[in-house]
Amino acid sequence: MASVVGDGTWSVALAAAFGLSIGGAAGLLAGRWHLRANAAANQRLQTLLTKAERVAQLGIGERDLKSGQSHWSSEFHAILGLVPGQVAPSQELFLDTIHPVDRAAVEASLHQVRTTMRPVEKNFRIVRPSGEIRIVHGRAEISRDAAGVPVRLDAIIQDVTERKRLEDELDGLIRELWRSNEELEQFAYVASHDLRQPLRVVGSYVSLMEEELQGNLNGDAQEYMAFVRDGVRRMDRLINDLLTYSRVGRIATDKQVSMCRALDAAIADLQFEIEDSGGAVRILGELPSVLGDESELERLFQNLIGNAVKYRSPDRPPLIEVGCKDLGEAWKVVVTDNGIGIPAEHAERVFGIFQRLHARNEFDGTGVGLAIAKKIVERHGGTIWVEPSDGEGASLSFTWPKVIEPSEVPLAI
Amino acid sequence: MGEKDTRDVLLIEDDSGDAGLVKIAIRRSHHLCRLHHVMDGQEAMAFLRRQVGHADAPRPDLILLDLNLPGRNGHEVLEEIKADSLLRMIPVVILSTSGAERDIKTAYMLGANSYVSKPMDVEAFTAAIHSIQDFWFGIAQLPK
Repeated sequence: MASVVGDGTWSVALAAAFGLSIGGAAGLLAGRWHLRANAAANQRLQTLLTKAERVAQLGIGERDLKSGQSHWSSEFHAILGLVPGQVAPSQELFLDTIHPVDRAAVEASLHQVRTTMRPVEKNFRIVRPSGEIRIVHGRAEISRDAAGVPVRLDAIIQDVTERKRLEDELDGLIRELWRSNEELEQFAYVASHDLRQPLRVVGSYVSLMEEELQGNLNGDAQEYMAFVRDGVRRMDRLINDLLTYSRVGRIATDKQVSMCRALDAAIADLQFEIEDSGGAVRILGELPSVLGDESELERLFQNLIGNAVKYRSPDRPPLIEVGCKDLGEAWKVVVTDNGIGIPAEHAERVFGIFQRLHARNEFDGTGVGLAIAKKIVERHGGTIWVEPSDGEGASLSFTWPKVIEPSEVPLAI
Repeated sequence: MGEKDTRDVLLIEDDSGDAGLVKIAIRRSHHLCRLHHVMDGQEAMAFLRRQVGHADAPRPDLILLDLNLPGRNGHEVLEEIKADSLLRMIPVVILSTSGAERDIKTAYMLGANSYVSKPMDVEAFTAAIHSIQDFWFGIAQLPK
């Protein structure tokens, strides 16, 4: 059984949906019983309210504090599994429908409303005549007359069984996600420590052996040694890159960051490679400020521009252009180069982890760069892809959702 | 130089390969050092407290401590050393493959005197050990 906890989210959501304040919604809906005076004029409003009640699965009840008489709307009956006309609404009947375990708490809440004169909200279980147990969110408050004398207890109940079930499901999923995250963290730690330790020992002793045997190694043996050394070096890079990949999003702190600044930092990091290749990076137009992790955004640009420099054509120095387009709900950033390009058949494959398109003696690398880029973009809610290209060069695009500041969300009054 | 100028270093390290690298580095240094090697935390505490099998153990001038130990891990060993009023003053240098932030933080929080990530290649590794010796035996003043 789900735990019963009080929260007020549904009434906020309901009020927002109807464009009413919470108190206004409660007052207006509860007040339907007093709208009889001008029947014709109020007919439309009545119908609307009944519909609203049904759609929102919202039942309204009231109790005259002088006479002790209770009135329940048809949806109030329906939530409790009762049929209007077949039962006589009363506070006792209402309390009798409440699950025995929750009854005392609800009684205490109703008492509290009377003594403190302040509204009370609570989740509790009811048992329908069919034996079915439902979870109900209830709100009760006291209404006063013009002289300020308490005259009525207004109550709203809503069936939240389905919502609670979804919430519990979501809680389970979140717990599962936490667990798998912890596992990943453990894995990353093991990778950084336990896998690298023996690797360092192999590499170190190969070096020491070479030292010992200096001059006594023939051509073949020297070549074998070089293979061992290269293997160790590559394995170390693979482990490091795998670690970087696994860490995306795990130590991130998302805030407003300037894409321009992240790009500048990436270019500064690659300065040596860019100058060495005789290349240049051009920024076309303005880059926006977005919500994201600064160091991840920086790494994203670093990987994209680093690739553009690395996979340059032997015939010309690399020219890399970074542009941005406003797509309305997101920004689209395009990084274009004049390098060797990415064949259309590999357009998807390049984003796979440890996926390489070239022999190691052509272009060195572990094949993790674009996988990391993809993970960074997707973690921030965007997508990344290789633009179809007809001629030379490659063009990679990614989208980045725009930030919606809480203050920009339209609020219902 | 007299006998007292020879420094005693206790290495707590379960990987013989890594321990060998430390031995080689110390052999190649210009500092006079005696390296004592134990394989786990339990043996380390026995050595430091001159218990079973280590009745004649000297009080080390410096402790090199690996974090990845069988049984009690390096952090726990460090905690135990720093909780002992007799052993607390011996500088402890963490020597670890891990460069993980949480390992580094925990080590300093528990009173490590410095944290050194073991470099990948042998030359850098040797240089790191030599720098540790240069600092603790050349620059720093140690309690007698």
